[in-house]
Amino acid sequence: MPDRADPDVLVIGAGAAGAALSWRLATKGASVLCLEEGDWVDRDSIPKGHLDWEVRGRHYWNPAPSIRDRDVDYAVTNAGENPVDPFMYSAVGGSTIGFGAQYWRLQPSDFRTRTLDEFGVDWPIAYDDLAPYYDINERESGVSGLAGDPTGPERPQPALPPNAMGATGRRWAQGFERLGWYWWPQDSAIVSRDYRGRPACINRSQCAFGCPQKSLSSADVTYWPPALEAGVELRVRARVRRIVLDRRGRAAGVEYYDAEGRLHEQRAARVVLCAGGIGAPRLLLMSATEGHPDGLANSSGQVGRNFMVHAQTLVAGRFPDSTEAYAGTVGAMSSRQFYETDPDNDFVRGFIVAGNRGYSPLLTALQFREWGDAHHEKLEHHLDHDATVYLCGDDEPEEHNRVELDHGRLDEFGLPGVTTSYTLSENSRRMVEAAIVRGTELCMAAGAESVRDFGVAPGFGWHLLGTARMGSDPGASVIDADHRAHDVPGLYVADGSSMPTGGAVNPANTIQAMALRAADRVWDGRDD
Amino acid sequence: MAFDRTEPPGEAVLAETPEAAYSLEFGRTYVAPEEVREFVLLSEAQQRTLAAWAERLIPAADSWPSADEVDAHMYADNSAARSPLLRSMLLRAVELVERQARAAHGHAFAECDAGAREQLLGALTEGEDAVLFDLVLELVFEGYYRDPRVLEVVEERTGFRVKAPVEGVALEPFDESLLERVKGLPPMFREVRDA
Repeated sequence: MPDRADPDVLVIGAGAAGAALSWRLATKGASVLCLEEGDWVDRDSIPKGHLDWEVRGRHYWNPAPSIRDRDVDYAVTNAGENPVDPFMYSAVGGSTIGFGAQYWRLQPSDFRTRTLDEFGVDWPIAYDDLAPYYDINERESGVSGLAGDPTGPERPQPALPPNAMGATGRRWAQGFERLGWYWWPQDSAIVSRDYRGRPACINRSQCAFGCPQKSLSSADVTYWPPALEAGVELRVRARVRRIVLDRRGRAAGVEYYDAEGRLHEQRAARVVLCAGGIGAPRLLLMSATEGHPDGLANSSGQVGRNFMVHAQTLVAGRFPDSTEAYAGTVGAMSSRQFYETDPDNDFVRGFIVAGNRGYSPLLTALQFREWGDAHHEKLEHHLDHDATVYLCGDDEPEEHNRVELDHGRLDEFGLPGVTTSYTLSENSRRMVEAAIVRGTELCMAAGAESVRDFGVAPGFGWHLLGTARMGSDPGASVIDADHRAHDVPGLYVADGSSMPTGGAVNPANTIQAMALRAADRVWDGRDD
Repeated sequence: MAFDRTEPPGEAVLAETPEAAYSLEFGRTYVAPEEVREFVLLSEAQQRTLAAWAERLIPAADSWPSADEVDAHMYADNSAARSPLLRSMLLRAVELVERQARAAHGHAFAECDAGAREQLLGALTEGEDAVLFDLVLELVFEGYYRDPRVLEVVEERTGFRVKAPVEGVALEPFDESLLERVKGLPPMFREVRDA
């Protein structure tokens, strides 16, 4: 029997997308219930509240669910020629609780890569469809930055000025200037001034280890407080085992387990899946029925396919002076000089070059793994003298890169885990090789004495995209331009899995802008 | 990782992404500093072996204490004790190095001189037992780099302000005058007719 009066919308997942979408729907008058498999973050457990934050971050705060292995996590096993290590948290706020908060917008060309470059697929929407929602998201999240970047379309002045740059930011700026490249201060969802009750960032650095003072704009501190105030009901430790359909084949609600493993049935007029690039296909595949034997909304066979993680790597420069590696937001200065396709390259599409910060003591020691009499010398040489260049390129959606159920590794309540399979495309390989060259150039122009890089496929699973993609063709996509599942009335998907291509930037801003737009589409279509 | 080069690489190397089985146990093996008071897994003899091992991983130098001086090996014992797999691996590691020390030198690992210990550990870094070495290294490094005495030396010797991530620190604000040239450049992004 239903637990309560059926809500207008049931949202699965309280992360970046689910938070934004729930808030938006509630402000329009919808009754919204959100089910989240994780819990609120115990703020005392946030690593950076403690001097041993590095060790905490490797154990219970580890971004890899299979390592963290809490009772709210499911196992993720990584395969393929270039396995990736997914960064994902089950919590209110989802993976934003430890994200880098680099808040980019996609470029207009990112929505038309097939037409422009014979790369991937075109989106069924355009930049202008998303632009108003970027505006909203940047305001609600509290973005610090500066309007006027000539490498992107015009946009409003961000709510807050750029974050502090420090010596490393100045160093990257000087490097870009010496090279004559376009560059701009990094937009960050980290408040540089007090904003809506959250205090200004005090440059504690290492944002992946959480922000005890709420300056990091994770969704648990941005969207959730006003969403709850607007009437959204949020049930935590609620693990959905399947989406259920009514006799007509319309999404009618879900079955979920509470913290004790007791089954509940919850009906709703509409169901919106916001479980992320791995969680969304998992749940669709887990919801197979006689009429949908290969998983829900999967007549195209695309659920779980086209898994994209961006073509990423890092170059680290070693500088003679202090890099203030202990301070500042992750992103400092960035460039889209190489963002677009250049006919002189042996690859299509492009990448960003982002000057970031340095490393911490334990991480530095573990990177080099130098032991014995040379240990201290190696550490002293690099610690507080390194700074990194983050290189992120457009990753081609390919069917063989995918997410599948893993019935061999079950979660606490017997639900399947996930296996990811990822092999870097030849285009991505060439792109990363070129990006490493540019990252090296930037380091040297900024005054580095030497550099090291993390290779072509370092396995960074920070961005999990494309596995239930949006498209106009029901035979080649899972959802339509309004986030509606092609196959299942009343079912929507809105998260990183919805992105047909990933652009070449950190996707959090786009994921949340899409979720806000999806909320409007859900509400506008409520009479369907 | 391609270390310490001064030119772009001719051809970038493919990164290795190993996932050691033991790391899958780390989620449950955090031990708070105040909880590390005594050994829970190793016998007294095994404690001596692990202490000597830790000392060779991170020896004392200048103002740096050695890993055993700050009880990093006790942390390794306490952390490993929280996982059946890690318990078994740590015991296997200690027993293996002890056995090899006796075979090669006729006495306990802890009684070998620094050179002999280093040689024995170096041999462990290759082959199928390398994973045991890696586990001990990671846990000892963790125990070392969270010790307040070590963190003081980190700051003194490297300039890395260890309390900044916890307490915050002032930093130079963004200087918009740096953008003077870029602001004068023409727009550079691809126009898309229907976007």
